[in-house]
Amino acid sequence: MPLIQDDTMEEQKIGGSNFSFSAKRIDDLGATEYTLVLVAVDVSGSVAPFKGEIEAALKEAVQSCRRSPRADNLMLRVITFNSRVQELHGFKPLPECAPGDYDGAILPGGMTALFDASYNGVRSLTQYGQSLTDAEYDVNAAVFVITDGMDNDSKTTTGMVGEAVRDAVTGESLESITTVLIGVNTDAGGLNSYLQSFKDEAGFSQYVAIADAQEGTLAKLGAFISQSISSQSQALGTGGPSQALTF
Amino acid sequence: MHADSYFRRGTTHDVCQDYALSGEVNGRPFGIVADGCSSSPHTDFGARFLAFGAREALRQSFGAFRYEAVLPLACAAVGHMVPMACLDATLGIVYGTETHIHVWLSGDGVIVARRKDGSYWVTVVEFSGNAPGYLSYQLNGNRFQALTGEGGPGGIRQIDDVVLSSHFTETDRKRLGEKRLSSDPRSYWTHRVYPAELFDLAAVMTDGASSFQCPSEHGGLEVVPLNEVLSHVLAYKGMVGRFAARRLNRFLGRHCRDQGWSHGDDFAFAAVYAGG
Repeated sequence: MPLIQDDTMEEQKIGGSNFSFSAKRIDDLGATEYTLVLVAVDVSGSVAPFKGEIEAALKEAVQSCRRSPRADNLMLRVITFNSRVQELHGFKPLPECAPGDYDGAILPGGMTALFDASYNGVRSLTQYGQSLTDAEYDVNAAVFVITDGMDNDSKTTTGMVGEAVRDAVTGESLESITTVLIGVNTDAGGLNSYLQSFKDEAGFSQYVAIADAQEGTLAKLGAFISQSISSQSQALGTGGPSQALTF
Repeated sequence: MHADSYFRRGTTHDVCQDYALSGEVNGRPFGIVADGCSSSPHTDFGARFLAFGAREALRQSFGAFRYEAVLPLACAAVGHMVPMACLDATLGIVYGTETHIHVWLSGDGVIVARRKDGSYWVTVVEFSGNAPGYLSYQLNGNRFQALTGEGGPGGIRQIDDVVLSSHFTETDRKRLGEKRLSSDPRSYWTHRVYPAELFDLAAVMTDGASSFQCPSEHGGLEVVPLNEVLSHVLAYKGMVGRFAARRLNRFLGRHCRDQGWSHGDDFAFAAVYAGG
């Protein structure tokens, strides 16, 4: 369920799909450039044992980004996915995202629509990025898809996700995009090789495997996401994406 | 009403001697540009001192702009680390009141205002001998005499008022009478006032606007006419926040790169938008 109702946000349909997303009205944006960040979080039933750690990682990432000198040039959209994709909030500037907004945001249950979430996320970045580029903002993007399982409930396919990523990489709506697939508990039942294949087929730029969902390892996740975002934000204007960081 | 500003180093300069500043003071939006003389020392600092001096003069002016306060305020900022000649710089100020947008320009440069009927009213200020009358010449009688006396460049302001259509073609031009620098501080300034009822934007820019060059059909480079530069500089897609910076980033970073345009001189721009 959305955390925030905001009159400065407007909803847009993602062309060619039943998906939609919300984003800050361009007329309400004052900067010259933005890094658009999409975080997609798996909330299928299996994440229940570590939902607290996932929520903490999300809050840590937001908190760190808010302290960044580039905070005014970052916009964040957070979606959760189980059997369906739900938008926690649409693209809005980091200063408007408070860690407390994510309290209780992870509500595990249902299956895993990993492909739908990835497709929804990347397409929303490309579409909103195009609107911003048309309005003469400089834009790049970063995607983080966090999952602990294989897809079993999507309407979209790996091929469609791959096409969305290719369009984002080669199109002119974004100066560059980094796409990071993060697997949690990848030691379990063939998940690691599955996600590695998904990463390759869909064209993600990086795959991070967190072997087991211990509190210590997930605690690093928030810092990794915020540092990756910071790196991509600093790359804006260079024409290319940032270097991938090591988890 | 709100303001924005932008500045960028020219291709022939190692250090940017132009500066631009914008914001709000006493509830009024303002923009300031300054262009340091490239043959005087440390005018990158001086351009900033003058800009901040002008901002402070605006802050102290609750009614009419106290132009005579700018130079003393800038001098007070110079201190002992750099010579006073660092203040050899032009200075342009644009600010809005409830009913008007004012532009004050000391030295050479370009003023442009957009009328609500789509036309552009441009004022181009140049000095005889390409030697602008800097405010700092008021500090030293010898320098003033060298500028205005026999054998000197003259210290004569030449002002052209030009009207451009919405497509930036010239529809009218008037060369105003010569304005000579004198001991009167007011003689250093060109002032334009635009009713907000009729004009929704006014801007001031340094003479770098006239330094754009493009590849010539015959080889080499040729000057890009000012009206063509303005057609790009003022082609806004939106007027919120950093409207000028977005346009100039796109113009300088993409159009100029793609078309092989360059600007040898530094370029600074400031504007006040009076639209809703």
